[in-house]
Amino acid sequence: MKVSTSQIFDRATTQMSAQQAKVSEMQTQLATGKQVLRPSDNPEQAALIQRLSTALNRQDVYESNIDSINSRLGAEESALLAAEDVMQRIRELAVQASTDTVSSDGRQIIAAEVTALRDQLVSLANSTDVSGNYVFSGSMVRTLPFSENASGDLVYQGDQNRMLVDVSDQRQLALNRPGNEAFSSVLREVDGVSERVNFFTVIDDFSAALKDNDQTQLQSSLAEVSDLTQNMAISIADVGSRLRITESQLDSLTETKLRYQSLLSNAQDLDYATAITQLTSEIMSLEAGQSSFAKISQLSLFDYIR
Amino acid sequence: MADILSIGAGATQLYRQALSTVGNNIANLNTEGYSRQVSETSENAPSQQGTVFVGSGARLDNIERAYDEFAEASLRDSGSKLATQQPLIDYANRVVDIMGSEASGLSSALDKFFAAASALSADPASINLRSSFLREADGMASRFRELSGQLGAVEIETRANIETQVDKLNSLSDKLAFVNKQLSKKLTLESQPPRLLDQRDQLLREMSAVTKIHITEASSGQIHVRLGSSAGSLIVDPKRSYDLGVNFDNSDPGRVDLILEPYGDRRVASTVSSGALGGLINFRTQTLSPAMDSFDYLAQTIVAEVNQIHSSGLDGRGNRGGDLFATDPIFDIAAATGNSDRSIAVEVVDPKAFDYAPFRVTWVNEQNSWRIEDLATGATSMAAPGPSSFTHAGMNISVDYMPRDGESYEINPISRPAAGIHLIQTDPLAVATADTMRVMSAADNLSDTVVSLSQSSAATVGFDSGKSIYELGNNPSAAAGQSVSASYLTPAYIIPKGTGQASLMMDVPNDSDLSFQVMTRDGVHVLGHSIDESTKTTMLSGDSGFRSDSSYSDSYLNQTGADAYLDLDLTYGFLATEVERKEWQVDDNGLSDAFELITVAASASSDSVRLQDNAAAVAIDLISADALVLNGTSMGALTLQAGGTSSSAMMADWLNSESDNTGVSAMATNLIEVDAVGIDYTQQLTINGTTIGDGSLLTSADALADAINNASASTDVIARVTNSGTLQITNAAGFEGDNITLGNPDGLSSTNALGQPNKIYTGQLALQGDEQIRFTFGAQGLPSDLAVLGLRTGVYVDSPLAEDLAVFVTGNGSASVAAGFSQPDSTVVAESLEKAFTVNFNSPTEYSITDNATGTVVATRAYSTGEDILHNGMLIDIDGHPLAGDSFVVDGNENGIGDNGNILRIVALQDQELLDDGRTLSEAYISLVGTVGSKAALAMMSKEAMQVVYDQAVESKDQIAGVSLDQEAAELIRFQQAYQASAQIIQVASKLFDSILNVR
Repeated sequence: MKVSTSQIFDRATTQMSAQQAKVSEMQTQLATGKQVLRPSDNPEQAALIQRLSTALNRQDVYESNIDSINSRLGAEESALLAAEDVMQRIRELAVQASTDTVSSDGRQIIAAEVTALRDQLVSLANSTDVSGNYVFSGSMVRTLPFSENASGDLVYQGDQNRMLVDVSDQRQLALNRPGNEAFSSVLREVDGVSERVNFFTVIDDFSAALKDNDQTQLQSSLAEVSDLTQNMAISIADVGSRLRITESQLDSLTETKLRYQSLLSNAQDLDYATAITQLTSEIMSLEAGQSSFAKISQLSLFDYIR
Repeated sequence: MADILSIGAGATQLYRQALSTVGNNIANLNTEGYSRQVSETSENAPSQQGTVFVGSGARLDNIERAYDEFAEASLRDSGSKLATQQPLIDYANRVVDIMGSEASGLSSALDKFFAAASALSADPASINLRSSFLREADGMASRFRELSGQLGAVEIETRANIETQVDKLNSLSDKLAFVNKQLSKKLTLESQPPRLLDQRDQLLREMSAVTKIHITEASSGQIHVRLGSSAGSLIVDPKRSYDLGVNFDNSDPGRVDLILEPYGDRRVASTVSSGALGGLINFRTQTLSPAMDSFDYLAQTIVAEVNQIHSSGLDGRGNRGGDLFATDPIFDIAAATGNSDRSIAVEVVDPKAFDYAPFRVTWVNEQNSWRIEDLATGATSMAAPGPSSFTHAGMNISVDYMPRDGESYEINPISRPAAGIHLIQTDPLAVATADTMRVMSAADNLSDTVVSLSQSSAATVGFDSGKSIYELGNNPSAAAGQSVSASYLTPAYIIPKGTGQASLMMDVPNDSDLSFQVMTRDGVHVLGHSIDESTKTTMLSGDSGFRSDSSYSDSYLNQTGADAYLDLDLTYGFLATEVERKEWQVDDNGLSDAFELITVAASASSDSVRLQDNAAAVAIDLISADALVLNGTSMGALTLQAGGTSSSAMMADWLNSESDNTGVSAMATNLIEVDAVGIDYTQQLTINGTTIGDGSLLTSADALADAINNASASTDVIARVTNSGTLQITNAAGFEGDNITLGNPDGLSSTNALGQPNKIYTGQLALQGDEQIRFTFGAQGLPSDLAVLGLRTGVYVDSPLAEDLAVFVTGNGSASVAAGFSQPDSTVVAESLEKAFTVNFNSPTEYSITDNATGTVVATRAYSTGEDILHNGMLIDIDGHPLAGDSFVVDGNENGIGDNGNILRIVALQDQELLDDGRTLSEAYISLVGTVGSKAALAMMSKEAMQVVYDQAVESKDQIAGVSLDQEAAELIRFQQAYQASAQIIQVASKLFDSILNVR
């Protein structure tokens, strides 16, 4: 078989430049530390990387959502804890006032303290989070949740929406507890008929009973105030459990993130050991090509014809 | 000796030639397309000397090029296949690199958009988060535009490349045609100069790299070239070459048409599938165009979905959110030749009026205006006068110069959503994060039930049986009526929600008990007659689609005004209302634009009233007392005296007796109209017992009318012929509304000269009211009572309802029903979703739903613990045990700035399978890139395979035609030695000659 001279040269240059391209590609991989330099090098791998980084981004979003929820729940919890302390004190005062030994004057003094405590409760019920949103007004975060209505009663002005926020692919967590549930109401029997009495009315009635020295009312106020204190504890338990959920959710998020990160690293990061070995072998093969070409190109019959 | 010398001389010459051929081979070692040449020698003809033949040396026959037709053909073939793959690989990889990159691809922009939405859901009241959501939305839109622009750039580049390839092919064809001409000088292939043939083969190789060609070679070596196969278009023949041109379609990048002789007769060329040109065209049709389409579809989907959600939520100000994104079309504007060197700009200003129809605008000096021609329909119109900007079909076309007469532009709007997508909301407070509705439990509820609201995803359920009234056709006239059998079991008709101005009209036989009953799905009896317990149960069966947990209510049955169902204007009976009409003004130039609005008082005319004799000895009631109510006034009994016969005159008197209360006056008429063609001139006629005419047959309508009028003194009937030839017979003055008896004096025929049956004809009633004429039924009234007056009973639903209504036809027998309606109004249905309502628990096991605006109780339903309540597309989830007296109000969420219901729905879009093939947005995008990538990978594999084939073809061609220096060196020595030997021959000859000379 005849091999033409130009073909010998062509073939050698084609092969050497192909080899050179491989070496330079490997060199870039090593320099960047990436397996896939351009998506076109390996479209499937690139698609996998995109999927994984989307999933990873998603976890970051959940993480920041949990941060927002935490700050909001923190505001809710501290307000409720403070409110519980106040309620405990009111309950003590109610117990104290309901005993027969307290004089009418003593009750007036207690009434003064109850009034002050009530004002404190109102300000706690109207507390805001770091962004200035009212914590206890449902979705009406720019509306004062507890304020006086046209007839001068302190009533709940918010709504009863619970905002749910995504904290994982499957889980949503409530951002708030509406004020009418946190500062709950009680049922009162009036002339054999039940009616609903709201939080601050109970305290106002208690304070009025103290001022009027109304023994019967003081007895029922004690029961009602105990109820409210009880409900306050439930609200605290509720926010506490939500806080705990955010914590455990954060832990599981961290794990999920780690898993995705390692998958992503597998998909896009270069295995240096293999890559360097491969580069060495490619360079060797390039050198072999070059030296053999140098020898072969020397061969010519003309050298021997004298 | 002379022989030896000539042999020697010939041989030296021969080998010198051979040596120079070898030299030429060596010299052309690196010449592109050069085929190795070989000198062909042959023996000279021997000379006969006596009986022997003595050889006379050798000569050079020809210098031939080493050439193999098959090697050459396979080289061309594999060359074009190899060239096919390269553009596919190059461009597809580029598309993959642009779209698949993490930095510039869409995935990261989508991620950021949804991440911003999710962050906003955690604190919707935050202006910062709202702004950042808008920023990311804008980022996503601009990423769409950038990527679309990049794809557009690839489109433009491949377009230019295709044009370059076509130009290259054209120039190669030109050169080949020139070579063909040169080849025509010799007749055989062998006699052609090798260089010319090498040139020819080289040109063919280059052409086949552009596209696959089919070659036929003439005996002289001249070539015919066709595109692709033997059936392809001829581009070169021995006489000339034929130019190719290419046409692109701006709206469809996948469409590339090759045209033969673009500056000649423009024939359609056959398609090309391989070579660089074929590869480029393939890339556009199979990769680029589908990718652009999918990308546009993706953009369109995301815009539609996000807008739909966004515009159904409430923004930070408590208003309905609008669209978040808009997509503008791209305008392909082609200026006609001869235009001044200026251009116009087009933009969409009213998306609703815009419809993507291509059109042409031409400036008409004479009319000082642009003529607009719709290219699809050919319809033309003139723009508002003046050369400046004008509007057309929702577009604003800006012109900022004075155009020349006849200057025209063809404007082709192209829908490229990905290129035209942009954010239209810039105000952070305009981001609709909140749900439209909320539910609240009343502060004084005794139970501590907690409720929550969600929008129901379930499709609204309608009735299972009953025809939609649309199937009856929009024609309320009696003639259009369709027969329907009465049934309590299933509704006969459904008035679909949103239908405005609906009316169903019923024709009933005398004395029948047929009637309409109209009900809602929740069992509210809106129109009709009171029904008994067992009938209720039968009618409200769940099988027909009624809610099985709802109970029947007749609180709103036939009520009007504030007592009516949802305060709607509903009527059962007969209704005519005043109408407003535009009276167009006429001035000197004919009809003008001015009009006067005039109110036409309500009026109605009945059909012929019922004919009834009273043969009994006592008076009978045609209509019982209180059966009918006219404009709120209950009507007394319509009595027929013993021996009397009913007529419209007596009914008019009866109606007029209550005129003061009802405001309705009635006029009796009796008009019999006979078409000129209907007159039977072979018959005679009696009217009210008097024979008309003198007994002879009458021959014309006019004669008939005259004869009737001659007899009117005894008949009390007059006649006239109208301009259109109709014969009208009516009561004489003072006898209006009296019955007219037609007969035939022969006493045998059943018809008469008028062509009408012989019988008593009753008259009609013309009613005139003020605002309305409204007949309804009293407790005992039935449609057959209205039918006495010649009126059809109808169900009238004036304003559109947000729910379906079931219409029963009840009673015995069958009625003829016709319908009228206006087109359904979807906004009414949409607005109804925002209606506030209250759920009241009457007991722990029953609740009612009250519409807050009208106080109408629209449903009363049974309740069992744990059930959700569904009303108006709202699903109320109840957690707890409601007690009697508890109420829950569903109302607008206007000040719920902290609510995140709507933005959560946008967040949820990222996981929804929105695309047709069940993919999520980002999956669809990744798979779009993957598809292009796999095409590139496939092309890469084909290329590698083709490279091997091509290398082999090159090798086998090289084996034959290539120059090897070693081979040439050997040849050189061989010929050199032969040359030296030949020289020796000459020397020998010389010596021989000398020897002879030396003989002394």
